[in-house]
Amino acid sequence: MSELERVMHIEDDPSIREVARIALEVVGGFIVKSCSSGQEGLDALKQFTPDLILLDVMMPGMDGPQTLAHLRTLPETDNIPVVFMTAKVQPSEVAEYQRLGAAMVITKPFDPMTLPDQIRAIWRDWHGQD
Amino acid sequence: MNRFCDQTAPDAVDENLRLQTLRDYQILDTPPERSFDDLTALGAELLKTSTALVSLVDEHRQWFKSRFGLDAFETAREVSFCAHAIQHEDVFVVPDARLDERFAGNPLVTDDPFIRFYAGMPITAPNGARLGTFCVIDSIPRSLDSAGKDSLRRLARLAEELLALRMEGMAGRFRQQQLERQQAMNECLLGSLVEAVVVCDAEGKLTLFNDTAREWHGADIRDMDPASLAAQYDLFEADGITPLPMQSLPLLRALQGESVRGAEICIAAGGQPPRFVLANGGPLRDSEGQLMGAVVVMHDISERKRIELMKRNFLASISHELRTPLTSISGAINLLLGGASGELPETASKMLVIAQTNATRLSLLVNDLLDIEKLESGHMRLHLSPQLLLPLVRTAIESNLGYASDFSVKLELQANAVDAMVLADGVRVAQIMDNYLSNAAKFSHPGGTAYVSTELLDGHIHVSVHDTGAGIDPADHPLLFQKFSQLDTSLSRKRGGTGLGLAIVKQLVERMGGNVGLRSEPGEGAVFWFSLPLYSE
Repeated sequence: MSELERVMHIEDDPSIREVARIALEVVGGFIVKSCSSGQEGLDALKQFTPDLILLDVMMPGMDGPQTLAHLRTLPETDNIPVVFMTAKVQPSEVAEYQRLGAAMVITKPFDPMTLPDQIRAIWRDWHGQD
Repeated sequence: MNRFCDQTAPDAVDENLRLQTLRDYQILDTPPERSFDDLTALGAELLKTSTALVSLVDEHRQWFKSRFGLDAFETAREVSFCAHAIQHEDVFVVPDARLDERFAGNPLVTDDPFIRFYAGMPITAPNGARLGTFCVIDSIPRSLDSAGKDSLRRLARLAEELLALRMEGMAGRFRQQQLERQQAMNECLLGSLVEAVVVCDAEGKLTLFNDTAREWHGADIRDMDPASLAAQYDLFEADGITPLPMQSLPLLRALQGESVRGAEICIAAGGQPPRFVLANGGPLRDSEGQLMGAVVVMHDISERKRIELMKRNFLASISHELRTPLTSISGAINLLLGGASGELPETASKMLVIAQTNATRLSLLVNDLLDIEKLESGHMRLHLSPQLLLPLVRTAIESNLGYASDFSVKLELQANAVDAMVLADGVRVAQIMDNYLSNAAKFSHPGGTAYVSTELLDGHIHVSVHDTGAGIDPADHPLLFQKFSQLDTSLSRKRGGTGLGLAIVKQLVERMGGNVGLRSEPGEGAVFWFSLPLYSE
């Protein structure tokens, strides 16, 4: 198992996108691709080849779960953990997202200083299960 | 007035009562009636006279309800023979009017119809008032033997019977009219209601739909088994989807004797949008307490529901809109404070801490607002599972130690009933404890200790948080668990808090079957407690 390097972040809000980018690049030292919509993420997938995808749940157009459903139809994403980011959720909603195939759910507001460690841990868990 | 005045019959003693009684019969100036006409014809035949009359004497005249052998339908009272006859209890006979000084000058004697013979028997009302007579008249002098008198008495009695029957019939018709009017009034009343009214009989068969009920159900009363009412009239539970089971039907519940209050159901008659209604009702009993049926009155609350939904959507959307910028504000601040852009000057760090604290506070407020709305609208889903309470309490204390130390307050646990199980949502119990513990930290004197204790009381496990603060005036206790009630708003600004915490605690605890409360006297700190029912398998 190699280290987590390439992270794709799909989020419609530009400010959150920027905060997350700095957190992941500067604090986490990852290579980051920020996308403003599910479609943009799908389009950039082949070229960027992420190790992990951070996906906002509530987005205009294609929302998080819809984007995830699309991702899961693509063979190249089979081994890529997808992590949802959403506002405070009920345990039942977390269970529902995981049933849809999410590796984990990170609640907003998130702490950008700990976000890199959080997703590293998720990534390790995901691959530990293989 | 005329020359016969001195010869008119004197008034009866109870003349006013007599006249009133006569008026009560409502017979004067009414059209001829066959039964009375038959009676006069029989009388003339029986007593072999040319004329027989049913004569009624009012203030100024005698009026003939029936007249056989006479054209006039009334004559003045002064010339009336009957006015004399009603002064007597029994048959009054004038064999030859020409020889009787009371009548010799009477124009009915001296002129047409040239009365010679008169015999009249008073017609008496049950109250004794003599209303008039049954009389026979002839233009030749005659006498009346005792058999004739008997006949006359019988004929008068028959006339009395006829009058009584007529009166009864009138009263019956009057009652009928009253009933019909009352019924029309009731229908009009029910029809004018904006509420729907539905009534069934003791067997559960529908007997009444008012106009509104008919409109809402898109149908009139159909004769059917009460069990199929819900399906036939498209009735659903308050969610608008689940078909209403028979035992939940407000009308049938009312028929079971239940006093139904505020039952919310949905009527989705074909072609109409679902209508949410609040139903009130109860059994109908007669004066002996015997069940006659049941009534339900329904009030349309669709508009209220629509507004509630708008409010909920608004809150959901505004909280999302608030959280999104908060996420980036908090994120940016945390990045700066975490040194993501390098070392910061000390004053810049201090200001960023202030910004961070307030961003946190704002997001707590948004969470609290959403929670209270969900609790009040019944949309908060609790995930109850049987579990030990003490570990939840311990974890809550541990996670609040840091916060309490910011106020120089220690937290200590005094645990009893360590193996008590409760049916609870662990996340929500933590939220409850967070509220109590953060209050205890905020309101205790610096350097003090807040104690948490658990104990078993009456099948409930009580968790109490004792602070060592200034205490709370008992008069203010009832306010504390209400929304947005911080006793001293300047305190809340200084110490944080949204004013929703305790209201949320109360609702959460109650949803888990428990209670909340506090004990406090000014100067002696406060004890906030909640209890949950002990769980047993």
